[in-house]
Amino acid sequence: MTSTKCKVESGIQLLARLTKKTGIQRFYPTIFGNGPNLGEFIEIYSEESTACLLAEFICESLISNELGGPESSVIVFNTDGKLTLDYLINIAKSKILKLSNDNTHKSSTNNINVLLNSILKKMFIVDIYESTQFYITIQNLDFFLIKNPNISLIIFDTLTAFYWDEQDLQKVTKMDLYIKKLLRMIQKVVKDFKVTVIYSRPEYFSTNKEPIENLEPCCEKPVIEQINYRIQIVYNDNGQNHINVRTYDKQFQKAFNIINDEIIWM
Amino acid sequence: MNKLQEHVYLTETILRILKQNRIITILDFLQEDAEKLSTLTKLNLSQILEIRQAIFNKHSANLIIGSTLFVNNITTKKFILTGINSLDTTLVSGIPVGLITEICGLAGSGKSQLCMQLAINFVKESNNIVLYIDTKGDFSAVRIQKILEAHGLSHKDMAVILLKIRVVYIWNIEELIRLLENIKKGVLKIENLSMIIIDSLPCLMFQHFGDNNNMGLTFLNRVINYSRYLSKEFQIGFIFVNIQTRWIDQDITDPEDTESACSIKDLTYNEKRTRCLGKYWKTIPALVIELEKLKLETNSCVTIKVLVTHHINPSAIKSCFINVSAQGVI
Repeated sequence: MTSTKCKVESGIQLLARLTKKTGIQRFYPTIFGNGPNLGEFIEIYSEESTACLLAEFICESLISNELGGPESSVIVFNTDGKLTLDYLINIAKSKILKLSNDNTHKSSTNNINVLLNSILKKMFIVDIYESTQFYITIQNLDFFLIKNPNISLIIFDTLTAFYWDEQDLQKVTKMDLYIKKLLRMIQKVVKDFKVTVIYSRPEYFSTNKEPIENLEPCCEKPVIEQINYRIQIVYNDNGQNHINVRTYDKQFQKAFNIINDEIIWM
Repeated sequence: MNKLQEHVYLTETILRILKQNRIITILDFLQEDAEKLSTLTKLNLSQILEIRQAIFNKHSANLIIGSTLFVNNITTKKFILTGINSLDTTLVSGIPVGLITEICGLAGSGKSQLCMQLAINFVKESNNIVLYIDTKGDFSAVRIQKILEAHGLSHKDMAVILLKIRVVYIWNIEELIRLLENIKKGVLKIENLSMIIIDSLPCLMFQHFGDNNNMGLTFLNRVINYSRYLSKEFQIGFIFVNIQTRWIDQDITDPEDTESACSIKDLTYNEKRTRCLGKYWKTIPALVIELEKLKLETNSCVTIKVLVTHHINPSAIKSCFINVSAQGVI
């Protein structure tokens, strides 16, 4: 007898499955090689700011196919407030200018503004100022993703902005557990959509005295409460900064400078 | 997290049933399966979805398209000039609007002097209003008057400037939170508000030092949340004054490590400075202006070295010098 069992899916799951989406694989080979894959989670941490790398990822993922980019859409959960639009525009403009010259496009001001405008149409920003708003907006993410099916990348800058506000006299949640709880919540909401999630956390934000890199290793495939890439940004006084990238099977270092607020890889 | 409240469909009885099933907050309600909620409450699915939508409408942030922000961004003010030439050059355009700035330095390094001068410069020749939150009780209207007198301003002009600097005395962090909340909610309306200066934050935070329950950090988080909101939505600059502490680090060089080994270990003393308020605060300001009083001092003028660090590139520290004299900070 053949089995009569069939898989039941919700309307959201069906919609998510049928939606054609721009992937962001190979969008930043310097760090991700052939990845990141949809469904993967990437953690960025630093003792200082993570804004330069986040801005780099956001702008790179928005670059149009015409200029060799993935042309995906991005949602930025702006809880930290330091990732300003002016900063993102400057980075995006610089990238467009470079790629236009490389692709022998006319890089007239008009052309650049048209390309910039098309990029900005694919960027969505959610400014969040308090804890309740943060959680409810995460729950509302599925609505945003259904309404804007081209979104392939979700950025949380940062995941820990409301941690202390939520602690009370009776109970303090451990920092690592707090991150895991949030990851579980986000993963539950976005699991049916094909998206990659990048979030930032300050380097001090860890329960253990052990450095963050010694916490649970990265996973090969998306797993609940786990991450697939862990990137540490290290700034040096001499300007020779670097990142440490860790995945399930490898780790490497990449040096960079910041010139005119933009990352230049060495 | 906000608790579930009575709604057209959520009667007292239904709320009690939900509570018995550990569905207490609006987040618990949103995270629960709609069918299970329907079974528990005997409401139909469309009513459950209606309640969910009401929660989203009230509490969820809006998704704003970058191109819309870009259009609005063209007309918004991005910086406020400090009016101190060397500082404006180093900061490129002045104090950023929509972001948090920290002014820090050792005790007596000129932080309050700089803040008072900034307050004067922000309101002079404009309709701007500055809210000066004094937590130490040392805001000196007399000092401001003397600076203005030194610039040859008439009493009428001085009065106009002093009217545009609103001073509030705050003695604990709960009061500060209430003040910021009132501004956010429009209970306290200040027309043309362009800058809020809090001089100084550690005075309020030190009251919670040693708390095992971390209440100080909870309060600090709330202050920061309000500050972010006000700076962004009201398009104002936000300056927090912080202090630095210094300590001596004694590095002892091991004779075996050096080529010219000597019998007595060399002692090297390094002065180290730390910004107060801890690791959490360290990641908050977008711009840090550090003041260092130089030992070169004449009777009429004190020179201060200013180090400026922007969060985008923390390894690039710019510097300049400012002078404090009877004429204020120039």
